[in-house]
Amino acid sequence: MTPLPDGNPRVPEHINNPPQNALLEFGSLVAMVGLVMAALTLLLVLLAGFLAPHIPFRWEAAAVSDVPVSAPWPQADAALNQLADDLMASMDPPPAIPVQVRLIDMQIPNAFATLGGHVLITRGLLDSVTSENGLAMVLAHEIGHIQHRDPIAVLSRSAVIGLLWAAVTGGENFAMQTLFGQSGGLTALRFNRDMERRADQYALEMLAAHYGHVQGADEFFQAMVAHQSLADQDAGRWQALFQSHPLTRERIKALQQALPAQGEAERRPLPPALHKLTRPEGP
Amino acid sequence: MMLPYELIILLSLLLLGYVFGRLAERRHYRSIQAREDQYRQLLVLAERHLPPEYVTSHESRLVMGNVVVSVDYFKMMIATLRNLVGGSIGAFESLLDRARREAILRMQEQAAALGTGVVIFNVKLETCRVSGDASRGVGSVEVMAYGTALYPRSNAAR
Repeated sequence: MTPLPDGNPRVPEHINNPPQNALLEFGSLVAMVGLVMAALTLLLVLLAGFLAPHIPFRWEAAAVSDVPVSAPWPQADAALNQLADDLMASMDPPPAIPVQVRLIDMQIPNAFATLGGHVLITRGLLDSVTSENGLAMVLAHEIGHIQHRDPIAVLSRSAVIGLLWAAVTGGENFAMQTLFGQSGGLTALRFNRDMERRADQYALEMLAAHYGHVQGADEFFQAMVAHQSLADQDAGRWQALFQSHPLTRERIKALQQALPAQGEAERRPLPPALHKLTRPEGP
Repeated sequence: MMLPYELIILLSLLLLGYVFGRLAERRHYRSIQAREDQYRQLLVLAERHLPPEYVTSHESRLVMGNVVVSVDYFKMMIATLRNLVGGSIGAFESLLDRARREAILRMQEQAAALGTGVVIFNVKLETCRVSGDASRGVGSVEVMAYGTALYPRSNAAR
């Protein structure tokens, strides 16, 4: 055997422990992965948005046979559906996709368009409008979403994004999803706001076709602004960035640009079946 | 209104991991280098066969040292990203480098207690992951070094 060495060698630090800038490495990794993910997400979102409107409506309707909420006010539902039908009939040509409206018992003023051509209106919304025209604007807006196939587009989009993230992160990596999901979310929301603006535009055309003017179109949004707390109104830019809907005041401004040319025209009162349900002059 | 709370939590964890992980690593390396100098003369060899003269004049004993080191959140994040694109994970390389050298040092420390003129032969290293589910949370790693310490019979009183 060879003679023993004098001592242990000094370990060269640069071979097994290469000097490195961890922050730089982290940054470049995030940038690299982020770019690829953003590109893939964008591609899939565009693809989903492009394909979704071509999914036959009867498939969508078959998937959601009925809205799973009770109908507490059948007469109000009938009045709402009558209004929706009248609005749609006034368009030339009338929209192809049938719409079903239902009033649900919620105090928060809101309206949703969901799969299968269903529109849900909350009872609270009836208190936020003073005329049939104001209600018709909200209804027409939701009808616009349905005619544009927005609900199925949003669903397909979130489905493909979810699949992509699950594939990349193994389905359960919270940190990765947070890191990249936020930026992906912003792009998705951006498209949602475009949908909102398009639906607003559609609703204005529908109102003009039905009433001959668009007076009262901003009723609901004005009520929203009035009810918003002071803090909410100051939230400003952050809100605009993260909210799925365009800022209420932004929408009012857009609506009011359509209003003045019409001058003052008469607004119709709410149909009796709906007027019954409004609260007598609340706070 | 939606604030990116999750993003804020994530960034805080990353910062925490980066700052404290870096501090701990630097301090550990300084300590490792100083102790390696201290034990420079306590030979550590991977040789399996003992020199003939040691067989008659020395006694043998198993010595070992083991250490468990935790990965910090920042290192784990870098590793997760690396898993996607490939390449060497430098953050883990330095972690394992520290763990191996620390384990050998602890083994040497144990051998040094046997007296002067000790040589450790047939040194081996074992590595194992300690935390259970590595896909969630921060993992840690155990490294054990062991070998046959030969010490002069005159020290045998111990």
